[in-house]
Amino acid sequence: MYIATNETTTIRSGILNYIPSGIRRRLFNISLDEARGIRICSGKPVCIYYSDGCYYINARGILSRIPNNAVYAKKSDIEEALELASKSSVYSVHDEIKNGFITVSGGHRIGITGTAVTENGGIGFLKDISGLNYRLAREVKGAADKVIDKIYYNNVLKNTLIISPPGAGKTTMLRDIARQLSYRGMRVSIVDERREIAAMNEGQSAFDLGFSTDILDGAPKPEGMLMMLRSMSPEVIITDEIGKEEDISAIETIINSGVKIITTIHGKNRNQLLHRRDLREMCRYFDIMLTLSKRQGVGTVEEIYDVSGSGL
Amino acid sequence: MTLKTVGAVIIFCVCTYVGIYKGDRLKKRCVYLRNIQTALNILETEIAFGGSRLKRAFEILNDAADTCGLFKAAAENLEEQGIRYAWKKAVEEKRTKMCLSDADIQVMEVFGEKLGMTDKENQIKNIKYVRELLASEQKKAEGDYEQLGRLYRSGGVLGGLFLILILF
Repeated sequence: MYIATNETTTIRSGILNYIPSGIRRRLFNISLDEARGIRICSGKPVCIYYSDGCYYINARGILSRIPNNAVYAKKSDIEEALELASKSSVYSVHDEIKNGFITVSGGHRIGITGTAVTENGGIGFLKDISGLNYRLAREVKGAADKVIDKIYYNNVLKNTLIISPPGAGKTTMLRDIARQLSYRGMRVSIVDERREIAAMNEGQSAFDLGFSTDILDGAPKPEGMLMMLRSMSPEVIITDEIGKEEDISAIETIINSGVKIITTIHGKNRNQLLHRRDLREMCRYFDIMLTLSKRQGVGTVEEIYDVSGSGL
Repeated sequence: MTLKTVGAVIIFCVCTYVGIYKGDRLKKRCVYLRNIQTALNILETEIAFGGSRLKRAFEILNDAADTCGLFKAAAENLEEQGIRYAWKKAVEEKRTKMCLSDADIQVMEVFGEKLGMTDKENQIKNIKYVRELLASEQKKAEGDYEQLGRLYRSGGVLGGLFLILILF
């Protein structure tokens, strides 16, 4: 299980460039293709997360469910990881550290925790980094196959809201929707506030999002959406995780200008959303609402409703 | 007779050359110290306003000021090693070509200690501090060149003549 037979340069093995060398050499015989994340915490055993839970690695590079003989992470590993993630330029990732994660090439996110240095009542910086949480990116071409015909039918694109709990594959689906719409000739604009959808690195996206897709990286959603509306003449704007009042009013402006919106929101299902007064109003903007879950694996489509409330 | 003349000419040329060479090294030290400061100036701007990663910044510095490829070597070393070792190794590689003294090398090592791994403000402080140290070394180097440079050059010529006189 999870043993690699050969080492090819996949997106997943690219993450090895950002793992400290002491730990990296234990991972050579392990397949990371199915891994969801890696946890490296100072003084604790290194942990690799698969869909069925956490595995430790021992000195011989073999996975195990029990932490006996597990490889432990040292403080020097954390420092080395930080240097690798920032390409020896910590000053250049100051804002990212402030937000708690660094996005590296390949679209992976390295979450950081440590001691917060407060500034003006907020978090100014993180020092004495104690733990790193590597979230491995997934590009799944075809993740949106089940829903694309409901969203885009007869050359008509519908405003779509994807409801999903964390980790159920909404960002992966969003990527594939962008890619598929772009290949169907639509001008797509992605407003990637959390830098997760496109995972831009030095102007290049880690994923295939299509030829006619424009990406605004790291901008706050309301401002970003209005900016793309004015500058890139999109036919559809795609963004992730709306919920705030400003997001909703920006969406209103976008829809009123004739541009479509495809976005996601945290939640369990449509009913839960409708019970929240602030969100109920927002729901009427969307022609299609679909819910995802992990029930039959990541990306399970639980329900699809159209604007009238009837299931599809 | 001709053999003696040839020998004399050779000795004269060698001594003169050694004198000029030593004087020249003193001059080069001044030039390179100045160029390194120029490069650091640009690095400060790159970090403060561009937020460029070190590898990219070093490549820019390599094109901007002649430092015998010091920054290019550091950029290349970064591929395989952490910044501290990459910088140290590059300095070791290029010190002879740049004619740097032990004091200069110490300053470069101070630079390497904090390079890259702190926030912007501290990076800039580090650069400013190192620039000051280098400026002071440059002053001393210029003093050395003024006093000793001429001494070496003339010493070479005179030494050559002296050797010829006592040998022949």
